[in-house]
Amino acid sequence: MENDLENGLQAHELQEQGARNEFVFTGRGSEYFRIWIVNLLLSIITLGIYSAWAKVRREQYFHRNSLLADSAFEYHGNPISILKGRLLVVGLLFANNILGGLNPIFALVMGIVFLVATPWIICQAVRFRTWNTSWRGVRLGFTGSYAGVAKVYFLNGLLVLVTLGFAAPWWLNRFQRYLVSNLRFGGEQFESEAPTWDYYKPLLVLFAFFVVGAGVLGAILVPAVFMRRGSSPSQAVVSSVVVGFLIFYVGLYLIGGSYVRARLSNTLWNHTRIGQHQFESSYRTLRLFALMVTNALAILCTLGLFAPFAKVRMAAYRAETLALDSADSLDVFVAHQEEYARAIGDQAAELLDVDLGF
Amino acid sequence: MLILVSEAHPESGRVAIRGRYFDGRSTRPLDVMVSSDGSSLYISGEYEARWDVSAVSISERLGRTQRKILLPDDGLIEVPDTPQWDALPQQWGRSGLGLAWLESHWRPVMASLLGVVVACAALYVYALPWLAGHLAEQIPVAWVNKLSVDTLEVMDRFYTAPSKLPAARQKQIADVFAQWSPPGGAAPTYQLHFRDGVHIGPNAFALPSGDIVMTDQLVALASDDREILGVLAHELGHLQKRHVVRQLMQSAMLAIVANVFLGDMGDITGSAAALLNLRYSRDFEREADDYAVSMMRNNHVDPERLAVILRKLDPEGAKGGEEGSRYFGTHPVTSERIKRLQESAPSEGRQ
Repeated sequence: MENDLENGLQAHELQEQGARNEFVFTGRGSEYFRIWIVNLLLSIITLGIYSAWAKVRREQYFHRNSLLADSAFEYHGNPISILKGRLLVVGLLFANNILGGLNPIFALVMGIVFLVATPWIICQAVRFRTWNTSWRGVRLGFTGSYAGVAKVYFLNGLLVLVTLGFAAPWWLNRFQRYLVSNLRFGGEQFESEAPTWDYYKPLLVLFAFFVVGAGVLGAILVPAVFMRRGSSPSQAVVSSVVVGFLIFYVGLYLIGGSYVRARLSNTLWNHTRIGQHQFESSYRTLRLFALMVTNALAILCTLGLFAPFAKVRMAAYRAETLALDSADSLDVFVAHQEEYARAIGDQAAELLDVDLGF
Repeated sequence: MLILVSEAHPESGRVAIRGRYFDGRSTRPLDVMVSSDGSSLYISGEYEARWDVSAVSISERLGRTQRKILLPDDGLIEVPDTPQWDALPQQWGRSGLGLAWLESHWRPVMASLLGVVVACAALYVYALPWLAGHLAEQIPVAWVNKLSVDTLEVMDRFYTAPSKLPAARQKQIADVFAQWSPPGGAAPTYQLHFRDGVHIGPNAFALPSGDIVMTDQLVALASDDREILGVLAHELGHLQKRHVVRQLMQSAMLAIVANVFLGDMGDITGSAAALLNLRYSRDFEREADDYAVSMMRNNHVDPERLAVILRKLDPEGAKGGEEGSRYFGTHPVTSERIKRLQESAPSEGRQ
């Protein structure tokens, strides 16, 4: 009895201070489809120039339809910065694909340029995205640096090479932790301590699944092909083997992909805090799998027209499974003063968006 | 969700909308009522202010999402999207791009869909090949040569051996072909090489530097030298039209365009681009066949001679081949190529 009373009181206190805040997504596929198709048309007839404005509109749609505690997120990306970044990336890709294809020395030079630029590109993309996202008028930010990203990306990457890939889950863990713990909302820094072992588990399971699966498939199919009384395998048998492998790999890609994605995302966010607020991620493998399969099939059957619906479905599921458990009220965040002053100065203009993709 | 109630403002009687004010520095919401008389915006409640409408802006309508009134002091008010706000921006002298109208009516949306399909097709069929053709001429000759030398080296190391054809026979073929007059003026400079096609069998290919390679096996396959000359004319066509460089350009541009527009679909993008690329390759083959036809006719040889050797090179395809190869091959189906050659007007050689 006394315990119940105490629990009740605690619950009441929690509610007073904030308690659990779920993310809500209010977008609709049919609505986003119309925005998407208008964006696509304008992008094509302007030979891609409009795609920068299209990206702003798309991001605004997804930000403004994502709500936390009744307030929508906002996207502030400047289309001119996006356009400049895209021209840069398209220029690099062009140089790489065309000139690199013709001249091996140029290909080598471009390879080195891309290698050196990778941490910068990652930094720049995350910084642009976070700084241009706000909630209740307060902006997110990214405190990572070129050197920091280069260390977790390349220096740690060397260990992956040396261990023939065994360090890969560790590498991914450090990389994601670095990115997330350098996020900031207003003046408050994110903290992420996702354990390394929790990255190993799903990836090892996937690896085992792959090896066993390939072994079983091989044991069934290889004799079927080659032990038909010494005769060479018929066309039908060979194509059934090819189709079998294809189904196996696509199936593995989808179910393994959704399993790893669910587990890693849950691990990462369930160990991420911002101040007194703990993130909660509850992706489920089967739900994610069903979503990915139906999306992929529908996109194929509609020649891509389902893509905007698929994106909305994914965003809705992400919001549905993400929450912020708060021991404190969400009303206490304060903008970062220095960053705030900087935004108004010309330094914000230096931000380029180097993310490519419509 | 924000509960939105429109109600008469207690003092002025103007219609007011309930919203939440944020000062731009903290996430603490203040409940306010917003109303306007056309020249001023009145805010009352936990935060009180009056702003000139010309200093204030409201975010453009997007779906059914919340609208934000941006105040000059970096504050903002979250208000629900109600029809009342659509009238206001006009009063404030600010109008959007009209995108919201396009996006909310099915007729312009369907027109956009049609437009996208037409524009994509035009881009693929006309714009990219045209652009690639112009860019191909800008590529320095030295780079093209380097690529060709490398390719020839790889071929010699792994696929071919020195020709076993007598030098006199090689010279005979080269001399006859050198005397052929090319259609439409000057032929590109070329260099003819013979090789033993150990792993590639009867084959011929042209490199952008002007090197044309023909295997001994192809020479052996021909029952008449005019068949060999037809194949050489086809390869010369590839050189004349700069097909290798154009193909490289087109596939690179296609990859970039597919990446930009379909970016987040990953593998699907790659396969789609590869599939679309094959059509360009088949178009180039047809172009080279057409060149060969006019060159053969120029020199009083029936284009049928090329059809004869094509039939020998690919007996299966000459009968029609598999249905799938029409869309998945680098070359058009052989039966279709033969039909095109036969349909070209009969030359004097036939009569």
